[in-house]
Amino acid sequence: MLRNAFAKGLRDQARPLLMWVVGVAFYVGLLMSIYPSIKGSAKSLQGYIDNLPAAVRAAFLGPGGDFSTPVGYVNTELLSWLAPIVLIAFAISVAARSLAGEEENGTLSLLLANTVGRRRLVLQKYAAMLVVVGVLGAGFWLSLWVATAIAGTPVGAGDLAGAMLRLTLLGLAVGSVTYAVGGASGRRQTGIAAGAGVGLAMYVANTVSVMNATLKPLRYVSLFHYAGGAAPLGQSISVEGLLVLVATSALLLAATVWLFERRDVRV
Amino acid sequence: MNGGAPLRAAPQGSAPAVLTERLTKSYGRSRSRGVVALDLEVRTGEVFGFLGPNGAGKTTTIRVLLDLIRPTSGRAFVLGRDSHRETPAIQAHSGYLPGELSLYPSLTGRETLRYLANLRGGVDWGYAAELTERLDCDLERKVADLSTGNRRKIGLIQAFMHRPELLILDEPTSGLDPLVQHEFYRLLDEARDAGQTVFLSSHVLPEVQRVCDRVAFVREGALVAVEDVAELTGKAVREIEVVFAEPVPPSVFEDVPGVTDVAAHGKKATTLRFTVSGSLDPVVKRLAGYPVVDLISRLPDLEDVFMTFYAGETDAGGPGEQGAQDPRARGGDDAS
Repeated sequence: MLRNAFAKGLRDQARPLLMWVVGVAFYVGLLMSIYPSIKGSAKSLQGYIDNLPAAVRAAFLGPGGDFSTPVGYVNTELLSWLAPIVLIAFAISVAARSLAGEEENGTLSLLLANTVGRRRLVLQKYAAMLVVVGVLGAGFWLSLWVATAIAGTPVGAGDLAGAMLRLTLLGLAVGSVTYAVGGASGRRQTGIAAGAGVGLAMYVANTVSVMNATLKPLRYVSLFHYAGGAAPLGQSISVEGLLVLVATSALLLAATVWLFERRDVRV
Repeated sequence: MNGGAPLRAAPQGSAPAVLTERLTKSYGRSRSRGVVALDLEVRTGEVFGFLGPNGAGKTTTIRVLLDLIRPTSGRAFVLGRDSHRETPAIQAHSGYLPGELSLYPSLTGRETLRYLANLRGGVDWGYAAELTERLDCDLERKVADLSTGNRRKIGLIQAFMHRPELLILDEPTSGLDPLVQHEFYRLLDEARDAGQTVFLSSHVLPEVQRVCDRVAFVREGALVAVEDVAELTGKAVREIEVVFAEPVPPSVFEDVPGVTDVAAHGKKATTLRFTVSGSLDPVVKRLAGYPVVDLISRLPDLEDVFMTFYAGETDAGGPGEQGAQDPRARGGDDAS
């Protein structure tokens, strides 16, 4: 069962993954179960939202704030902020436990002495992170698809899959920051701080760029923009966006290998 | 059993099991030294002790050999291979017990060993099972529930289970109870018989004398001396305390070869303490003429050995004082 560091990584993350998936399914179910009642009063709610100052509206609802259609509701309530935050937070927690966690627990010496090889260890643990974050993304997708169908407000499964794919890749890219910094420093907290800091900065950059026309170019440095920004659902998927997300993760992974192979392992 | 076992010569033409060339490792911005210009050679097939007080650089050296840390300058060769450039080959043929052993708390002992064996590949599980039995190790419980001693046993099994050419053991007997220590010494003897090389660090002199062919003394990151254990035992300085049934003047022993620092103690001066270097035989012969109530022979603390033999060669501080209370040394010198 514990055939290699990849399998060990999956086993280590299985229990937290299950809890996150259950939490996501529960929240998505709750959110969709109240949609029919919101939809009924969508008009008055929409009127209220439309009267909000643009800055307040953008800050709290992003450029979404459209409750009149299922797609708008899912974008506003879920995909514009909660889904990316959940996926990023999970990816960061998995990444922090991977290399830095192994080192802080003191088991890294034993692993390396048993012929794992540093490069292989970095790749296998990353692969495990990829799988578990992917499973959470898939769980998100499945919950949404089922919940929207049950609520009688179906959103296309393909559209949903596209949106969740981009958000999952976003989570992985930010998690890769934690992975690289954690691997290079050997410290979990440093990795978590780096990932959370980068994630927050990019979220703010994207939101600000939407609110302020002169800051519009800022969005291009934000991974949130490439993941669909405030309305991941209902847009056509840009290949460039996907490439940016994947390339970011790949570069960070390569950096992790490079940095991790060159440093002293702490006792 | 016998610390004075004959040395095995390295096979002709084969590289030393461990070779370091001017190995230096400094830590951090303060450039505090782990080891300084260390030249060390461990011959193939010998049991080599790496002896020194805590913080002397033993663990640093070992971690360089396994490429867990990189030397600041100098080089290390293990099994004839460069420690940094040919790490996989070195690791494949060596077994390592870390000084500070950490395992996965949520795994059982068996899962831990299976995992490490899978990583390595080609482990003879029958031998691992035999080691488990001999060390009386419980593999069914989770590591989190095991005592330190039991965790160390798992560490030993994983180091031995693939019958490596080279065993690198950092403080292998710390935390082991005496019975398990004894079994461990047998494993070392078997390893020597099988032609395996053992490189072990310790701060316990009697242990090193018992199991090693040669021993290197390190202090503050520098190699102080490399000694043949058989010779060292002959040179060893012991503290002797004799309690007599009646007062015996110190002068009786002052002319015995090797005896120094004779002093009387106790209310009625019935206790004599003195230091003996070399053979105990003349002392025993002289003692035969007096009514002896008790006789205690202590091997001195490691620090004292340094002070005795290498006082002129180191910039050492004062000797440690803890040796006198060390129960392990009490009457335990059975070198023959």
